[in-house]
Amino acid sequence: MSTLEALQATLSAEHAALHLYGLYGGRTSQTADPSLFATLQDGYRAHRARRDQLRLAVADLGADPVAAGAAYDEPEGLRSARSVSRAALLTEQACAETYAALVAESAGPRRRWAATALTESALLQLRLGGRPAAFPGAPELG
Amino acid sequence: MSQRARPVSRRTAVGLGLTGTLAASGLLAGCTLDPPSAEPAAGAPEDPEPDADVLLLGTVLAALDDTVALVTATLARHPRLAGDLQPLVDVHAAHRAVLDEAADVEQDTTDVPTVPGRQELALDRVRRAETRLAGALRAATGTAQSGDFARALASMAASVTQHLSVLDSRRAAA
Repeated sequence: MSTLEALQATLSAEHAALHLYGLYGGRTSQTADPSLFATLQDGYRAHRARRDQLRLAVADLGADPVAAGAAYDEPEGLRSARSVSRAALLTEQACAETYAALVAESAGPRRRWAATALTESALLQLRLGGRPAAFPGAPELG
Repeated sequence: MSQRARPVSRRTAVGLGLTGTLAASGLLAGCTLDPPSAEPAAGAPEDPEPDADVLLLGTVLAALDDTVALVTATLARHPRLAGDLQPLVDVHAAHRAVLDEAADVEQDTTDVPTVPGRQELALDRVRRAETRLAGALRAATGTAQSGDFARALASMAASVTQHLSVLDSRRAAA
C-alpha cells in the first residue's frame, strides 16, 4: 500500500466515523447521559478535523480525496446508552487500526500525524468504556 | 529524544538474525538483518555496523527496561500500589515480548533504582518515568526506518498513554 492509498483509506474511515458518530449522538440524550453525549461530541469534532486534514493531505499529493459513501451499515440495537457507547467504541477501534496502518505507510510529518491520531483515539476509547490495551490499533501484536 | 540517552554500545546488537513470528511478519522489514554468514565475504568487515533500526531497538529496550526496573522496585517496596502498578508491569512485559522477537539484542543489566519511602512520591516517580517512556516511544516512531516497526512503536506509545490516563484517574478517585 502506498502513502496515498493509506491516506485515502484513512479518509474513508473518517467519513464513516463521522456518519456513525452523528447517528450515535442522535440516539443519546444530552440530559440523561451528559457524559456520553460530551464524549460523542468530542469524537465527532476530532474526526471532522481529521477528515478535513486528510482531504488536504490527499490533495497535496495531487489526487482527488475519496468522497463519503452514499450509505453506511449502521449498527442495530442502539436502544441504550450502553449499546451506543459500545458501538462507538468499536468505531473508534476501527479508526485506530487505520491510523496505525497509516503510521506504517508514511514518514515524517504524516507519520507523526497518524501516531498522534492513534494516541488520541486510544484515549477516547477509554472514555467510551474501553480498557487499556497493550497494542491499540495493532491488536494482532498482542 | 527526551529520554536520557544511553549509549547503544551498552546494549550491543548481536547476531542480527531475526527470530520468531514477528520477524517473519517483518517488524524490522527493510533492515539488513540477514544472519551473518559463517565466512565473511572477502573485504567485508568482520563486525559490520548494525542497522539503524536495530540500534533504535536497543535504545527503546533500554528505555523500557529502565522503566520496568523502577516499576518493579516500586511494587516491591509498596505492595499496596499493586492495583496501580501491576497493569504497567503486564503491559511492559507484552511490549518487551514483541520487541524481543524482532531481533537478537544483548541484554544489559539495569541497576535497581532507589524508591522513595513515601508512597505518593514513589508513584509520582513512576508516573514521570512512564511519561518519559511514552515520549521515547513517540520519538522512536518518527525515526524508525521500517514502517512495521514504527507502527508497533506508535501502538506502544498509545498504550502507555492509555495506562497513564487510567493511573491518573485512579489517583484522582482515591
